[in-house]
Amino acid sequence: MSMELILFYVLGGGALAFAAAMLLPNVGRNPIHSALSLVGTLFCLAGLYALLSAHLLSALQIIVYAGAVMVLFTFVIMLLNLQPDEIQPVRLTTLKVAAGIIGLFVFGKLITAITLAAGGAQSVDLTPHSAAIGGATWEGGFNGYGTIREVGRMLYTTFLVPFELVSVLLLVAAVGAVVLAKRSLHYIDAPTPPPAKLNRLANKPEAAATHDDHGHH
Amino acid sequence: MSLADLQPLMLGLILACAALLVLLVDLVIKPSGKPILGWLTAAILAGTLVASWLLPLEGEVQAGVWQGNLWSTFLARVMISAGLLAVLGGLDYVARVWPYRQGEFYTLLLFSLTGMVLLPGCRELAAFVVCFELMGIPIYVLAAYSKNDNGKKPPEAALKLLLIGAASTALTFFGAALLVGMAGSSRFAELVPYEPGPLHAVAALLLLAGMAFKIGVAPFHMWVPDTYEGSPTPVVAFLSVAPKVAGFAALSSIFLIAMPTLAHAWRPMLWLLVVVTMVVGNLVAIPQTNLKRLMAFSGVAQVGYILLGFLGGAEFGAAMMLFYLATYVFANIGMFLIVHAVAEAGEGEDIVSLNGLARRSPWLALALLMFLLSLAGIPFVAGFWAKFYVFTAAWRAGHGEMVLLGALFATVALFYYLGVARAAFVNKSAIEGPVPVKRPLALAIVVCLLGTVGLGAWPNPLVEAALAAVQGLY
Repeated sequence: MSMELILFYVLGGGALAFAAAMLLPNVGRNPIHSALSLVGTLFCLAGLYALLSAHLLSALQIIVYAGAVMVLFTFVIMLLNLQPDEIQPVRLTTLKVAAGIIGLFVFGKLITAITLAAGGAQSVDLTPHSAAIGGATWEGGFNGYGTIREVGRMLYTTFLVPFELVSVLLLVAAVGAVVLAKRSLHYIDAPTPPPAKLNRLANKPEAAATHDDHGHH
Repeated sequence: MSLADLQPLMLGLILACAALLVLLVDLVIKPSGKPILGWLTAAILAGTLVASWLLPLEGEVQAGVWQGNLWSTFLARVMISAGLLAVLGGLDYVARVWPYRQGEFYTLLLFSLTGMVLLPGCRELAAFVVCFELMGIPIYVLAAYSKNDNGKKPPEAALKLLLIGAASTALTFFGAALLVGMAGSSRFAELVPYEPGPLHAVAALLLLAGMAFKIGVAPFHMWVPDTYEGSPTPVVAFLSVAPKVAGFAALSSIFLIAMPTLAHAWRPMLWLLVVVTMVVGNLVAIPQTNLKRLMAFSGVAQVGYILLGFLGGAEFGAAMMLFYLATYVFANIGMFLIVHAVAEAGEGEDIVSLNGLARRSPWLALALLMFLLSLAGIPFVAGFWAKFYVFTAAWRAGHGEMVLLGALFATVALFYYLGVARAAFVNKSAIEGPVPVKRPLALAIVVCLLGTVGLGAWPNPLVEAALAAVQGLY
């Protein structure tokens, strides 16, 4: 067994083990423990990316996911401040059992398909001479594959349009978060009085309930 | 690359710039002047619609990552029309209920439209996935817009949409990742080899399931009724058609362009989905008493018919799917806008709230009847031709059993659609006086009515346009 294969099994097994630990009843009772398991999974994935020669992605995975995103997770956990007795113990319902069985079935199917596919798969050599395999898309082949230079070149040439659209997506997320999180402006007088047609329904509470920016009238 | 190379993306770029413009104008404008933002959005959308005929939108971007042709332009027109009608219909409601959040409302709507308009032309998975999300994420926010209506259901509605949307995205991405991993390329043309393996079939099914969530195909429709019921009606008018149009565009590009050699894997699944969708949508719609829930299940059933066109395959089926979608936009938005008008008058959103509508507002009742007839597929409104052509496509493709099933359930659908019409025309109501309808809302309803009746009387131009548009798909 080559070193690479051993590393793959260690990292892959680690990722799965940490992911499972996230959901274990005794760990899951404390959200911070679950978050820590998630960090473990993310680190193992970063190792797997490095094995695939995606060095930049591997570094980004640690900086962005294990770093920045996890800070947000811990913030949310702190803000919610759940006490251990507030967390409901996991109960098995018929629905959950059914979901589990279907999940296992799909999992089995996937495994079968992957084993079948693996039989006919050729191994892809990531050295420069095999550039023709993906040459049509990754222009220039796999030369320098996974380095900052290559990823940057791809982002700003082949994938320029989707890359720019992702920045629009970030703006959407920011606008959306502000809209949903900002407080209703109760303290400013409503600029428009409620329309006259609602007055005749003043005794109906539902009619007034649609005013969420300037309260009840 | 120069700016001229981006010419085919122009509609999407205009919409994205318009969204930024609305956001900026919102910053500098006085609170009392904010209703102008709605008019600005409507004007830009109308302008973009006109521009889609004037600008040269054909061509490739970045060596075929994005393809502009009649197919993408036709779908863009349908989506922009849907956006325009929803904006007009919701103009006064947005200004009254969320006076301080109007700018963001229109910004998000325009960004969502940007994603939709760019989706049909994508020929590469990264662009495809980003457009798909750009369409979906603003809608999660719009669905949650009435965040603190006391006692109503908006948080639940929006949360269901978000969670199911996220789950479906995960499925889609998993499928896409499998395909890209095996092909070493993310171009549609290179995605699936001539002789696909078992893992390709798994990827196809994952993609199918992910998209089935988005367009609300049974059994992936669980979020639809709750989200429709709990979200603001003008948002639902938009949500119920525009993402569906985009979803079918996405289905077409993934399955017809990228996976024709995998048809043996996804066709039987699709066949099953059509059957389940028609049965569940039509049967569960019957006992509904809330109009928006009824329309939700009716929407599920309609998706079944549209999928029938897709199953009809080849060019004719895909073209008739486009025609169906175009007629569906008018009838469904019109229907939701009438529900909105009646609810705005303070009558609620149940079927009984339509009682006596024919005596109170005869024109509104007439429009309602036309939309219902179109949705039910009665001659000679637009929906009849849509169903007729879709059935023809399915028949030609050798799916006679589906035509039979579709016709059977169209009869079942008549039952609940006419139940709504009965409330408006037969039942009596204690409330007198016409239902007040604001001018932009009335304009939107009139446009929907003209579309529904006009396409019923004269469907040929649109049919021909759809047939021409499909040429761009292959």
